[in-house]
Amino acid sequence: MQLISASRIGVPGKALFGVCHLDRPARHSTAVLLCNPLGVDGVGAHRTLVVLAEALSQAGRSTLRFDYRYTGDSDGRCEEARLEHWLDDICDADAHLRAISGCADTAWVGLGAGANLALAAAMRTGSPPVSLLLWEPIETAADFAAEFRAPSQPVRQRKSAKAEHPVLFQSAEPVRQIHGFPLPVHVLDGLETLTLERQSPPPGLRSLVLSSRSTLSGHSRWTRREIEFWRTTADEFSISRTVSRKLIATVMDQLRDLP
Amino acid sequence: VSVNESCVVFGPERNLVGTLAMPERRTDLPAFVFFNPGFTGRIGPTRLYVRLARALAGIGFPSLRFDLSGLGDSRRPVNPGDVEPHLADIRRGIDEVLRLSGSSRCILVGLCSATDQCLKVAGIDDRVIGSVLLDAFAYRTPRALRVHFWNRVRKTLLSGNLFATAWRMLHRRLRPEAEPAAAANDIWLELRPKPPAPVFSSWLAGALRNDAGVLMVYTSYSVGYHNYRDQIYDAHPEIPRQADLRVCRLPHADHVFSRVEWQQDLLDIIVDWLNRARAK
Repeated sequence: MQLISASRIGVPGKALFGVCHLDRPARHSTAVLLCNPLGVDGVGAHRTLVVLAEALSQAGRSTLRFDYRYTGDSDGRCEEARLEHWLDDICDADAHLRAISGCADTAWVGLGAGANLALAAAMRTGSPPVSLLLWEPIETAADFAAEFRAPSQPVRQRKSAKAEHPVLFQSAEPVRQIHGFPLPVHVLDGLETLTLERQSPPPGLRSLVLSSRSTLSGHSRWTRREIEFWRTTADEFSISRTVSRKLIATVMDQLRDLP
Repeated sequence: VSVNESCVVFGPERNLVGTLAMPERRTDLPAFVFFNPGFTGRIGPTRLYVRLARALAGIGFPSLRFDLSGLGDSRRPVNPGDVEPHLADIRRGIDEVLRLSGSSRCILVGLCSATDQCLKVAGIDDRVIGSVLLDAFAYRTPRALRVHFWNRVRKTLLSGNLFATAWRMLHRRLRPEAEPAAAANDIWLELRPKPPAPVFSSWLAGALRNDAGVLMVYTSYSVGYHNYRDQIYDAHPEIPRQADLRVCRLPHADHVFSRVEWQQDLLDIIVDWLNRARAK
């Protein structure tokens, strides 16, 4: 039987919105944590992750999907984001998933920039996942520039023309907005250090990159064994808007042999 | 600004998921209800609804933003019994926010296709005292066509690309299928067929009954359709001019308010509208 529970994880002010898809009684001892992409990709990929979570729970695997702080339905304003808080959020969500599902182990699936965050969080957590699936991560500085730097624009600070009106945006730090999502410049700089070419596969951890690009193929830190290239059309690997059942099936395949 | 947010799960099968935003202190102000614009989740495009809901809670207005069944985090019901399930979902959302907030009245917010649902529910539910419609359908009048034509001519002359623009317009007339923008628009029209003007008039009249208010905001998305003040009264002569209807244009903003400044402009318009309603 599948149980679905939506809740806020953590204390008010720092709470994460999360939806747990639980399998009762548990058929597997490894649960799956899904890490969202950021910004407009996060909005577009939401339905894809819902469908993936439902498919995983139907296959007997408890799953948690959640919004990082400052994003989605979680607490915080985008312009106050901190990279280290996002990494903490992944670890907190993982602890919540282990507690609520009763599973001893977890596997993390990160999509888009969520894959880069998951990789960085796995490197620093005390209780790492047994498996890490990086789905269309940001691979190189050029990818990062195309996705984050190029569309970013400055935010015009409001000159309180209507003092009695609430103000949507306030920040003392330099901020750039990407398709309506304002992010501090230091967060963008920090994210750029998390591209795959600047990180190594975590030692002792099964990690796999699912990529439709070939930019990593010659990179020394990631071997061929760790990279699976999608053989899909551009429409199918789009992480936003449409849900590709074929891609969902491929991701499920990669998780099938986990206990 | 302190806002208390909590997750709510409701509906006959507990399949609807939403977030309740409550002001620090309870007030008797109406509650806002946000739901999916098209296929986008309840946070709205560019997280617009989260920002608006929190800002409104900061000035005393509670709100519920939730996913309609089959969208976002809400599941389709196992036993669907409603003829128009999404309209029934919205009324359940109203029940829930009024029960939890202690308010007795509410204001619906809709963007794009959600504006149709707002108008339909506002026309049948007396608890709805206001609707905020972002890029609702607009109907061209002869004057709107003239304004649109002269705006295009002026823009072309200012840009200095007279021949290129004339060629594009001619090409569009002769081979409409070759225009990707037009093709994309056709897809949207197919997904969301435009009702005849009298039907829209009846929806709008329904939403304005019992002295309820309607705020309509048009962005650059509608600039070819809506381009002058009072166009709504010319297009829908059945709507009395003394009705509580306010129409605003944000011709610099795009359809999904993809800049923080445009989101702030929208919030200013909503707060002005609320203040005027309170002053009445």
